Amino acid sequence: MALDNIESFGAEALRSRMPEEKLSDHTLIEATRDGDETAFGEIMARYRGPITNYLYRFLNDYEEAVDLAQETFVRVYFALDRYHTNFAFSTYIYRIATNLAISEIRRRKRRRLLSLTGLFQSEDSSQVEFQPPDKRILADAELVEAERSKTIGRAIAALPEKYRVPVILRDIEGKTYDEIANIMELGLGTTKSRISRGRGLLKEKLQHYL
Amino acid sequence: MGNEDMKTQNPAAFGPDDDAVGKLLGSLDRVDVPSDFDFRVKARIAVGKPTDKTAQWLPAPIRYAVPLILLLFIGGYFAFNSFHSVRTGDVPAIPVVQMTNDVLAADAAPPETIVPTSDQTIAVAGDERLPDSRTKPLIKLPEKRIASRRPTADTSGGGSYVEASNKGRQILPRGFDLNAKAPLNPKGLARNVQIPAKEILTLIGVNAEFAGSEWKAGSVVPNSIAEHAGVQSGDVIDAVNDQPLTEKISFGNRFNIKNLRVRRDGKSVLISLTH
Repeated sequence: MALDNIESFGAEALRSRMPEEKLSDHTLIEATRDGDETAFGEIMARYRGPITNYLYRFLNDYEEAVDLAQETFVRVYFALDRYHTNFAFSTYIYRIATNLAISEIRRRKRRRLLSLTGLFQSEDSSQVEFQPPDKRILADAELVEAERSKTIGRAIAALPEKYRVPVILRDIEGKTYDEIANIMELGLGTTKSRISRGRGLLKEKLQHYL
Repeated sequence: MGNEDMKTQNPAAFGPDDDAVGKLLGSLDRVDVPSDFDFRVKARIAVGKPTDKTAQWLPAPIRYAVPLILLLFIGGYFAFNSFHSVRTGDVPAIPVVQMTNDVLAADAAPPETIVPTSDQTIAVAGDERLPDSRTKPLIKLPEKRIASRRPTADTSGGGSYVEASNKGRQILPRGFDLNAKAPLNPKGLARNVQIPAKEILTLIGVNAEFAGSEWKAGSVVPNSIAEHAGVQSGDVIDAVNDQPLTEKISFGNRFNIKNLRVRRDGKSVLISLTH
C-alpha cells in the first residue's frame, strides 16, 4: 500500500479532470470498439487511478480495491457495445465500480469474512466505532500522519453505503453534485443532503482532527 | 480539493464544519495503482467475458437439458393420457351393492346394477366414431335417486361420481360393511339372537297370529311337536313356560320350550311338550 505517492495523485487527478484536452472518452471508446487496443489502454490510464482510489476509500482494503478496479475495466470492456454516449463515461465507470464495491461488501457480510482492516466497517450507523484515545508519546510526523490517514480511512469505511459513496465522490474524488447524482441515480437534493449527513457523521468521529 | 466547486454550486448549503470535513478528506493521500495493473486487466479480458457466478459449476448443456427432459416427460405423460383415456363404453357396468347392517340380507339380495339414463351419461360425450351400441351408456343412475342425491352431494374432493353423489353407497366386496358397529362374529351373532314368539310357535308347529290381545293358533302342522302334544287349531296361547305371551315378546336362542298354557273353550289347559 502506498499512501504517500502524492505525485501520482496529482497526475491522475489532472488526467481525470481534464480529458477534453486530449481525445474525449467517447472518441476513445469508439476507437476501442473498432479494435484499437491502445485506445482502451488510454481509457485505463485515465481512470485506473481515480477508480482504484475511490474503491480503496470505499472498501478500506487496497488489495480488494485493486482487484475490483481491474474487474471494473474488464466489465467496461465487455459492455462497450451496450454503452451509450448520451451520458459521461466517467459517470458510467464510477457506477460500475460502485455496484461492484457494494456487491463485494454484501458478499463479505454474508461470508462473515472480517479482515483486520475491515474490522471497523459496519453497514449499520447505530454501531459505535471502537476508538480509544491515543495516549502514546508522539513519534515523528510521518508516523502521526500515517495514523491520521488510517483513522480517517476507517471512519469513512464505517459510514453507511448511502453516505459513503457521495462523500468519497465529493470530497476525495472531487466530483460535482450533478455527476454524483448521476452516478448514484438520485436527485440533486437527495445527493446534497446525503453528503451533508455523511459529513456530519464523519465530523462526530473525527472531531479530534478538525 | 473540490471544495471550491461546492461553494460555487450551493454556498449556503453547508456550514464551516462541513467545509472542514471536506478539507480533511481532500487532504488524504491517494493510492497508486500497481505497475502491472493494465497487464492484469488485459489478461482478464483475454480469459473471457465475466460470467454470472451462479450455476457456473454446471456445464451449459446439462443446465438446459435437464429442465427440457423434465418438461418432455411431463408433457408426454399428459399427452399419453389424453390419447389413451379410458372410454366408459369399454368398461362393463359396475354392480353397486346395497350394503345394509344385515349382512345375510345383503348376501342374499342380488347386486343392484345401475341402469342408464340420458343426463347421467359417463360415456365420452360427442365421440361420434363409436357405434350406437357403444355410445349408449351402460351406466346410468336412476333418476329418482339422482334427484334426491344432488342436494347432498359431497363436492369437497376427489372420488368417482357415485361416491360424490352418495357417500353411503360405496362399491365394496360382498360381506364388507363399513357401517357395521362391530366385527362380524358368527358365534356372537348366534348368542345374541332374539327369537320372536311367532317363530317359537312356528318351530313347534303352531301357525299362530296375534289377534286383538292374544296369540291364536290358526292351524297346527300335522305330525309336529305341537300336534303330538295336543295343541288344536283355535287354541289361544296364553303363556310359554309360564311366561305370558305378549305381542312383542321374544326369547333368547338358548330358550328351551317345555310347556304351553292354552285356553280352549274358556278353560285353561297346560300342555306339556316334554315326554
